[in-house]
Amino acid sequence: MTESHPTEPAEDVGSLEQVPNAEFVQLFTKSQRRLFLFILAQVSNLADAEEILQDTNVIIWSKFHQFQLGTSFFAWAGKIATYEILKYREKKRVGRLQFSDEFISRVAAEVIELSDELEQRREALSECLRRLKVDDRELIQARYAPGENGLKVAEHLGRPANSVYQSIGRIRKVLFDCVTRRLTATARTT
Amino acid sequence: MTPRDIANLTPEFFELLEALCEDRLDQADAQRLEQFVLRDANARRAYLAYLDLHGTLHWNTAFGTDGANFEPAVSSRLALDADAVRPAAGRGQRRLIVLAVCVTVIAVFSFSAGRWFVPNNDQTPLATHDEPRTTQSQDINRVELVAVTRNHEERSPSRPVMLTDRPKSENPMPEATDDLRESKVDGNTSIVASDASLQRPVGGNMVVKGDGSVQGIVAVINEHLAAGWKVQGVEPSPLADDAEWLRRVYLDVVGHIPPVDVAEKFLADRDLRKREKLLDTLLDDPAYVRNWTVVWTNLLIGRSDSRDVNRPALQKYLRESFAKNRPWNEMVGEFISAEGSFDQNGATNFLLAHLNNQAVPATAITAKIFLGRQIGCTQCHDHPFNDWKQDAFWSFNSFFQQTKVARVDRSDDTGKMKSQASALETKHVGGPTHFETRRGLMQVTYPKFEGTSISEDADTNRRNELAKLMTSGDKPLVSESFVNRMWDHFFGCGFTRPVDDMGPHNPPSHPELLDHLAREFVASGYDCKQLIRWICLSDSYQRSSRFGKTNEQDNPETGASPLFSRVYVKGMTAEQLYDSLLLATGADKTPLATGDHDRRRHEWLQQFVHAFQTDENDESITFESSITQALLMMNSELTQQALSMDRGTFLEKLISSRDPEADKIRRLCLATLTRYPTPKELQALRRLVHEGTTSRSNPAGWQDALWAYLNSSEFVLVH
Repeated sequence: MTESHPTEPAEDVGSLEQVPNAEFVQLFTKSQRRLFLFILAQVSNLADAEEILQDTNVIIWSKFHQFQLGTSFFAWAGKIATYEILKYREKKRVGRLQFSDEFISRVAAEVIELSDELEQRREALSECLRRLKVDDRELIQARYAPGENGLKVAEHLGRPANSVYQSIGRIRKVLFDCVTRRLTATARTT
Repeated sequence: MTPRDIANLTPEFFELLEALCEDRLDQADAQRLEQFVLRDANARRAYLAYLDLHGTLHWNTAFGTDGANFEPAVSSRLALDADAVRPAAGRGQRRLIVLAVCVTVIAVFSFSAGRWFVPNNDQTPLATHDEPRTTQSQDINRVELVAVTRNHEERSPSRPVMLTDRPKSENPMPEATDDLRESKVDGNTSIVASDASLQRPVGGNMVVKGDGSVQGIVAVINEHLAAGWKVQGVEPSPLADDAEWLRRVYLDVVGHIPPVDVAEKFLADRDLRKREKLLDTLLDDPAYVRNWTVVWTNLLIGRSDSRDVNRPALQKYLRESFAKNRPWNEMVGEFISAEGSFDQNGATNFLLAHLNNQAVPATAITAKIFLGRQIGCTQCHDHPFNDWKQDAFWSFNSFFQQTKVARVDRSDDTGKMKSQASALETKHVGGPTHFETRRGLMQVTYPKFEGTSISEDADTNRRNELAKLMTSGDKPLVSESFVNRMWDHFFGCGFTRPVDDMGPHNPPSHPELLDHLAREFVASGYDCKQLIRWICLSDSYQRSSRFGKTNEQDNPETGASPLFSRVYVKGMTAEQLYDSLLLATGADKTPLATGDHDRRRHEWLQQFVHAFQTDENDESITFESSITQALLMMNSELTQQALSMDRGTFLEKLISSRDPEADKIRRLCLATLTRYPTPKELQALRRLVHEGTTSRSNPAGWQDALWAYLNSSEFVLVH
């Protein structure tokens, strides 16, 4: 992959490795979900976020040797992602739902500030999922099965789309509140 | 972000977020959402958290739960547990140790199987991991060793595993046995200590006919249950000693553990009929009224504040009714037929809480709570059901058709409007109720209950008629389901599981006994206190919750039909735990009986409760008697109060007394666990107290000891 960047080998050919080492791979894989969510916060659409993540990953892999072990992987990768988001927004400016630049920059700043809390929330989520009523859990699983959305689920179930949107919305809110409550409860004890 | 931050956000904001998640946001919506997010930091955080949740759900189902493929490191559950056992800074380390000592020396239950268990040594590494002070670690190891040896001694196959060893632990049937023998000799008429409770009946088919007296009915219960043991080849658990029984009956009847003085007196009392006498005292205790008010408020309107009801008015209604020991059928009738405003007639609040959505929740919940029948699913279109059942649902629903919720203005003396109240009114409309079958066919039905139809005239008050139909007869469902519910309350398992899902598809474990009790309950005039007497004085209720080889198969947790050869262990409810904690520690010096206390407890509970907006208005309480939850609670502000040395707390009084140290520790144990410490436990605790307490002004060791006891699973279980 490094071949695609002909300018770089000139800098320090001798010390460059040809493939990322194990630690890098681990950092990379561990950061995937967080990176995805970081992107999602700014583009708000799952498919867009996935596409941008793919683009970002390509760059990350091609520039792996620029990353210095011991520094924050996420900070490094986040910069790449931010740039990719920008590129994507340029490209899709026409015909897509758009938030203002101000909105994006405020949200981007906040998401970094909030990253610890968001991480805790992700951990609490699985417990909240377990506590859902069985029917609700099945519905939410159906909604998030790969390639699905509320509309398609409604078609499979033969239910009116609005009622499915409502159910899914209710369950998401239940989860959201449950996570918030759990975090508050944990915060009280520490 | 706290629940309050979220409560301040508008429903519109969440609707926009929802639209965003489902790609249904148009440009105008997007701008609106932007405004929210840019203007309000709270909305910004909620936006991020919501999208994060949305994204996490997407990611996890696409790439495996918890993104397992990517983040195999720590399961979230473990992380949470670790948080839970990390109490307030500084003293945390030490408390872990204390807890570990406690786990090995005292603790003794396992939640999962709902059975008594030998201490699990898995838990001890807690101590060694987190302990920087080596001397302490060595102590732990020693205690642990002691605990292990003790367990080996006790694990002899010939008798049940005895969990808490007492001075008399060689004798599997302490004290109570002597009482029984004596009572037999001198002909004392004590019911508890009757012959029937000691000897197995000879003939299974020789069922005693009750004469309606407490003794008679208790004898029938004993007979039926013993017959079941015989058939199944089960030997019941030994009788519970006085301490075990006392704690249980207190929690079950009045909702909190016994006060230390009462326990002291009761254990020393030589009166052969002391159990009966104590039960009578408890039934007259103001806490009896409080406890059943709590139990029924939770059943009738739930713990959540989300519904438009007047909780205090309902509680006042319940308090007055339980204080007068009013017949249960009268109360049920009033809940069904209640009219008026929710502040002036507290009974209206039950229906007011459930009249949303065409009274579908009201229909389902009335059937579930008062009739023990789950008919909720028969109203819906998605499940297979036969049309008759669906018809039955809607003909029952038809009784609620005339019900109307009105708003009444409340003005002060000057005539100025102060507030609004909700009220139940009856519309004078008649006619059928319409419903749609699964095939989309519109059907009609008329008010009909258990085969009895009433007039569908506009002038017939349907709820009044329903109240009459439900609460009359020799053995209506109202009686049967109430008996079943009460039995479940005391034994930790009803004649059916779940307790409110009775019917031909789920036959009771003891049909004849249930039938008999349901009839006797009607004959008693639906006397709740009598029913409690029958249950609490029965032979089975005198038995220990410990069990041995001879009856280990009697474990409803495994799906087996209950035999009641022991009392099943249950977790304390949140209310029981709260009240018991205050009672044991004096954390809150105001008397338990005041309204303020109820309000504070209710507010405290809200952090655990969440209401679902389903057809049955379900709610979940994230509080369970799991160790994690207990710890979460135990490290709260409430516990800080409990351990405080403020004037009037239990600890303050204990430490400032002039009693010898050993007596103080005994008292500490009695106040929290309703038993005296074992000699080894006493020794371990003395060491703990010594090491932590540097002076009277720094009684850290005492606080640790109390904290350890409160955190033991023995404390949070009803056994």
